[in-house]
Amino acid sequence: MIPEGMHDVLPGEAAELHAIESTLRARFAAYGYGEVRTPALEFAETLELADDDTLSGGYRLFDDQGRELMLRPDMTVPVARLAAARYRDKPLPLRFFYVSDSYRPWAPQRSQDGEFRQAGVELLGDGSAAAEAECVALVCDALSAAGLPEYRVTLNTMAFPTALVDTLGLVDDDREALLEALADRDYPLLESIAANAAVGDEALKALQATLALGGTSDSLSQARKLATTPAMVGAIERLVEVRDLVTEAGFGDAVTFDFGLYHDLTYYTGVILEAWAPGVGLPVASGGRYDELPGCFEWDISGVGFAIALDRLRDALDEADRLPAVPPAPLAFAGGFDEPARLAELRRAGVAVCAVPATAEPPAPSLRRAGGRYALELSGGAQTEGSWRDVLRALGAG
Amino acid sequence: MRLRVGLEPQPQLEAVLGLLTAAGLPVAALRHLQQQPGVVEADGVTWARASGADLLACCESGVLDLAVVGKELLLEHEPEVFELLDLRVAPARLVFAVVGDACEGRRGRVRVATRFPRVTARFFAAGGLQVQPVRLTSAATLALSLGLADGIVELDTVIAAAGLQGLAHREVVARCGARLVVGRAARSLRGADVAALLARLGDLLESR
Repeated sequence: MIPEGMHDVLPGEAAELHAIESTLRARFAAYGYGEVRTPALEFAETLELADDDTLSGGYRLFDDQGRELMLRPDMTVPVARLAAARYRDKPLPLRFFYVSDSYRPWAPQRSQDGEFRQAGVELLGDGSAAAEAECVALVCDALSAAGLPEYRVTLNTMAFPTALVDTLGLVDDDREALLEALADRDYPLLESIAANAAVGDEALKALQATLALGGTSDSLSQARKLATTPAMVGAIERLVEVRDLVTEAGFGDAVTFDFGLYHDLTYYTGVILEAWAPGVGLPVASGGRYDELPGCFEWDISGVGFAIALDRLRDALDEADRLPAVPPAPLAFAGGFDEPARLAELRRAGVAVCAVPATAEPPAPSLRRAGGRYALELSGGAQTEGSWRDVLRALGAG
Repeated sequence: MRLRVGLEPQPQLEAVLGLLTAAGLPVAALRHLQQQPGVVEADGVTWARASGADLLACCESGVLDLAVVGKELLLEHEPEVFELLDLRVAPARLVFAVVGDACEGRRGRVRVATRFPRVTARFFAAGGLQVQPVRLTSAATLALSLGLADGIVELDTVIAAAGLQGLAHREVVARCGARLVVGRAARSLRGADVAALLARLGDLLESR
């Protein structure tokens, strides 16, 4: 028995995940990101500095001195902690990537596993649209390199909904309720709150029109027409800048905009992104700008990043029939335990081989000693019987 | 249009189908399913008929794009979907109903039978009344007849259809009705089709 929300990974799946992770590592490195590993356990008070309900709900335990520890619920906060502790005197920007497990309480209603593996990047110390565009381009590059034939990266900015709601002239309680309905994606409730607060017809229609702009190619130009305040115009202009840079990088076709996109992690402050692939109901990647998070560690620099959910990416590749090829089964050498020199010779020649008992009857590819000769059966059905030299020749190792 | 749409068997299904027909969706194929759960494809639209909870799970997992489900299910399951439109069909109130004074001072905690235990627990926790939700998968009304509970939380339309006598509606828990929901994946991957349908339905509802 294992706790709910945890799962084992078997050799075939592990090999697929390993291949995917290797591809992602190579793409992150190609953009100048360096791999970091942080401890699975952090002090709870460190992670609580992010002041986020989702992150604060992580698994907790006590050490032998009674200090409260927490299994990291994501990697962004630990990387911000690491950077603030060890890189203050280094030139900015900083680029880190990770391939790590994180832990949150199992929540089946939200498809939240207790343990989940992510590959992601954090770009610290650059507050420009170019930094955001680099992350968007990199997530596209990484998903393409992993073999995903079809995906969309959806963008919004946390600044736009706030600026939009500010145009409605609501009292604080209504404003808060409306933003909560927006986060809950409950648009009838949102419209009802606006209507009860005597928001004018024109403003209500603009609100409805904006939220209807989801995942269409002209969402951005439509939103531009609806932007009525400098804050809204500024938010849209930022997205335009990001879109143009991503297009120049060659990934513009993958980008769409959704003005109903809203992250439940409260540390996001600017542009946010989600990547979607057919057949997977949750985003294969998500991220955004979090300019106030490093400040929690008393270092006021900006930050932007994303994380790819590896299980979901594997599911998306499976759905598209594009899972990476796993290594073929090793040659099973019946009686090989008694012939370590022969085993070593095969391995030196690049043949993957494992020893099994002489009495075993393994499926092909297999090798068996019969008297002074050897019987070789390959996966395609080809059979060879002869001397050791004949076996080596048949395996291409002679 | 390439959409995968889920509908639950509900008393006012015809009204929903009428709305979808007027919005340009080819609903004729769906009638082949009668009232049975199943899937049928026609004219670029895949129709699925199943319980509302199952449809929400399908939208969340990305195998359905859209569904029409009751608001009470959205409140109970809090699914990861976009609730786009109140279709103004099958309006109902989710109510806390008791027989006579069944809840008056008998116990510190009141037993409430319901298909919506999470909604029930949240509602009463907010009001300070301590309740013990008794989860039933159908016919919560039966619980009163059998003495399983002191009260029920159920749609007033279901209570009326059950013909229970002497029930007093003590409080309105929520106002419900048919809602159009879209999965998060569909909103990103099939945004243009979803937005077009949403616009047509919005226009239809406004013109009524």
